[in-house]
Amino acid sequence: MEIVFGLALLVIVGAVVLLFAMFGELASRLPRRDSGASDTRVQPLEEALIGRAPDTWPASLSDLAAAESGLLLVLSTACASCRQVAKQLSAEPIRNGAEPIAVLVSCGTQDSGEDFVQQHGLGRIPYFVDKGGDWVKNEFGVKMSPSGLVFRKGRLDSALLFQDLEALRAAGGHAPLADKVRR
Amino acid sequence: MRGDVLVVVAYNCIVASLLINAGLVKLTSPDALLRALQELFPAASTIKAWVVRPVAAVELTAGLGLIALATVRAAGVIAAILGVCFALLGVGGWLARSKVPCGCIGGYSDKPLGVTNVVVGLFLAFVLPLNTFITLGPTQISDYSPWALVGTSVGSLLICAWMNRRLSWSLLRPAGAPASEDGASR
Repeated sequence: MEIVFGLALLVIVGAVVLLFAMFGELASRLPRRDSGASDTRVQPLEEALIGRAPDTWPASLSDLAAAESGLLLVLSTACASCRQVAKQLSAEPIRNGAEPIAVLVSCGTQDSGEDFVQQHGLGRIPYFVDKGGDWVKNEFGVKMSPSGLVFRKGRLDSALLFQDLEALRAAGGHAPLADKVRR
Repeated sequence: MRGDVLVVVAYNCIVASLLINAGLVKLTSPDALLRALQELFPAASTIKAWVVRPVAAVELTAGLGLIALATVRAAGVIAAILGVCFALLGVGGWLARSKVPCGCIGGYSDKPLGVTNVVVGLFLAFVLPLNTFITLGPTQISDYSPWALVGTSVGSLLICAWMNRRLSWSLLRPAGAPASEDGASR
């Protein structure tokens, strides 16, 4: 009886430790509120299907399919740092002749996606409202946001999880790092 | 219970608690250790996160093995080997002035590999000589596992609470701003 009680106690404690471990992992993915500075970490998305060319491109993203290289920013209406990224993006001037950039907004309904685009002034950039994030999930296995998908000749070349647009550019624009994160 | 036997049981419980905490956290978050290793050994950049998980399984096995009297010796050998490895990594981190948090013993902190790992590593390694030189009498054998189970449970809980004190405090204090959902899976 003592052994059974002890085992049950150990299992419960193990579950508590596991729960704290998950909280710790979750907390490590969030920027620290007291740090002030934005999080400049850029990490490769392990689950992304690198090298894949999608079966179909949404019409608004057709520039990416045809371009030598381009960037698709995956944002979500349910993610706080996506709003920060959207603000950074809307504050940037449009550069003629630069590599094409587009935005994919993952959302619950078409209306909430359109609202997100209007609210953050993203209408001047090619965008695609992806209901439920189904297209980007099915075509590239990407389920996280904000993430940056770099395309070369219509194929997914690298997929990066980021919090800061400048940090993403620095990672994607620097050839050795881009090679490093590419799988 | 004899005094020396009590010391063995208590020591085994602490070692088992440390290993169970370290193992469970490594299973969940292998990246912290991986980043710390990559800082020490640049060649480790090719190592994937899944490589760390078998190490976590070994830690868990050693920790649980210390609870049952029949497996104490074998678990002690594994714990001692792990302890020596921890200590060596600690020395490496200390010499290289490591700065990357290692998440060691399941800690949610900024502590890199260093002196703490050496101390904890040597503490773990000492479990083998202790169990070799102090043997349990026939009257103590039946008491060992119940005490070890309860002791390890309490020890694991206390170590978990201590190692996550900063995280607990950050969750308990009043929120000043809405929580972020960065990196959220949609």
